[in-house]
Amino acid sequence: MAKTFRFAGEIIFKNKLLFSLLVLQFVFFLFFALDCANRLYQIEYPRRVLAGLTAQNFAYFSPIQYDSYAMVYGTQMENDADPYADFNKLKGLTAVENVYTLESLETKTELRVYPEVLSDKLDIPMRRGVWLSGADNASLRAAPCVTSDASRKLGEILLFRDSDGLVQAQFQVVGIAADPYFDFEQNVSGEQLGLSALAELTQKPEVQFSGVEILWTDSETVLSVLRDKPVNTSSRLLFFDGVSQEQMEENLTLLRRSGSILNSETSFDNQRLASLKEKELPQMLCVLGIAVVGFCCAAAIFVQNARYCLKVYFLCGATRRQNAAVCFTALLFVVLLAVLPYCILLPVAGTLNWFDWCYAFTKVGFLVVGGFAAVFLLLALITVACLFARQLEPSKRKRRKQYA
Amino acid sequence: MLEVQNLSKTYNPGKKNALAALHDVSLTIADGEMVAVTGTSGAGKSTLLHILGGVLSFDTGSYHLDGEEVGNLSEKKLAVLRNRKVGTVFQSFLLLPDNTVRENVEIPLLFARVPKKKRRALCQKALEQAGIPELSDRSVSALSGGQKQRAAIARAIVNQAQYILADEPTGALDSKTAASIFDLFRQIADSGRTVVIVTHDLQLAARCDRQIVLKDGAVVSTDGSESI
Repeated sequence: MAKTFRFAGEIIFKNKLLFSLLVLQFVFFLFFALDCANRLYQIEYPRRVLAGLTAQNFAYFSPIQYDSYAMVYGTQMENDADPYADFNKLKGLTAVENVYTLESLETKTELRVYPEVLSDKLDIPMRRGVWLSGADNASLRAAPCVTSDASRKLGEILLFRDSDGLVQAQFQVVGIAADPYFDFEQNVSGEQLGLSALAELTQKPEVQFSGVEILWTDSETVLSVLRDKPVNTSSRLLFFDGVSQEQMEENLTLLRRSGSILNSETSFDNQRLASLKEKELPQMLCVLGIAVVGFCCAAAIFVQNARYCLKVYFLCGATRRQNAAVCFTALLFVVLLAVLPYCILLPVAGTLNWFDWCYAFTKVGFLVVGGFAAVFLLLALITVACLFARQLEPSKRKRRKQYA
Repeated sequence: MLEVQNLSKTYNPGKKNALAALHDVSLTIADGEMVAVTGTSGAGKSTLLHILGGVLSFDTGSYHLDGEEVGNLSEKKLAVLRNRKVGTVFQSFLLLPDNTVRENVEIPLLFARVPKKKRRALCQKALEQAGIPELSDRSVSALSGGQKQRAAIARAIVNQAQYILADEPTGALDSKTAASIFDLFRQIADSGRTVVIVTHDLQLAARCDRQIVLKDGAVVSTDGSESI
């Protein structure tokens, strides 16, 4: 066994050119595989998330600038202690892809954050916002929220919690947005949130909000509002920063471009898929082509080196079976070299919280690695066949037959 | 003793490109003899040497090595033959270039399952016999042609092989180095081993005990009486 390992090691590790080429190949393959995994994941993820976004499992938060609120409705914030406290917690909550638990006395729901919506693209100055206090329960310090879950009750307290339990915030249901044209005024005293506010904003650009308003609403409804066509679909998030008409349109354009607003042409899935087909797939194929050429070079050097070494071993007293064992062990080393970087990268990525990569790796990466392993195995078999094809003499029986 | 009777070998038998490399070859080489096998290119010298070394199989005839029919040996026994009875030296040295001289020399000992301590001692002894004891830890790629051939000879004799077969061992060397390598083979033969050298160099061949001349796959002379 040790002898086999030694001889196999001599084939792979002693040849500096082959070893360097293999290491380079595998580092290249590693990043290529992860890149592929990441790209595939980016397609797969929104589809999965969007599929999960139904009216039953999605909540909306509506922090609205206090001054504006006061200006419009003439009310005052009831709690001056630290209006940003829960808001900051919310910032923590809104990391892309994070999964949160939403608990009430009766139910427990899992929530996910849609990746595009809370991206940094819009750069919302969160600290400038002030929580709407109209629905606040001073003793609970709960922040208001609008939920699409029609089974919830107004005034119900919800506990938001991330998977580690580190980020927690309490919210109070101030509106239920199951119906896109829900009239919040009828349910929450003094609150103008959600779609009616959006409609106002689109129709009355003179209403200036100096701070931040975040409306959590249905993107298709937004579009329909803009087009005056009522629809009732699943829910999405939208941001508006200093919501002037121009800015909002800009934001909407940006969101449309980023695929956050869905319709048949601009859906994230379709855009991503189209982008993959048009731009990324050729890129990936080019890179794969280069990788394959590199790999073929390495394989050619490997075959040449292995053939030479095995010839030497054969002359020194190795049987064909021993040579086959050496060859397979050498190929095993190759596969190990290929897999090892992934095994190292996974904990590193986990430690450094490269969430996308970790997720892509765990969900898609293994499939890619599995694919590579299958290719390696196939190449191993071909290589062994090539290596021994020449050495194989016709069997004695065959020879006897020929000369009979 | 090496005894070959009516030995024939055809490459690619039954195909269009079939080539009869050896035809009805018979010869005997006694223990301790130093024999040169000469002949023109394509005469079948190397094929004969490979068959004698247990590397190639033959089609018809018989080949007895120390009274044992090699043609009937199993794959395992052939490997033992290559490992313990026959040492082979080639023009291209067939050394692992990225390994040290010692690592190369000890390969046959590894296949013979010789313990590490004994391996070291045998390696050193072989290197001393080959005249390069100081090069044991040098990488093969850093050696000259003559030194590489000495290392190859050390590998051939390290397992106390009785038969040393050399295929053009001086072909890639200058005349001075070739002469010194030939002297080394002479020393090996004088120590009681049988040495068979395939060579084009008639001057060196003339210094052997006997010459076997091959022509078109057949033995023309087994005592050097017929020249190429």
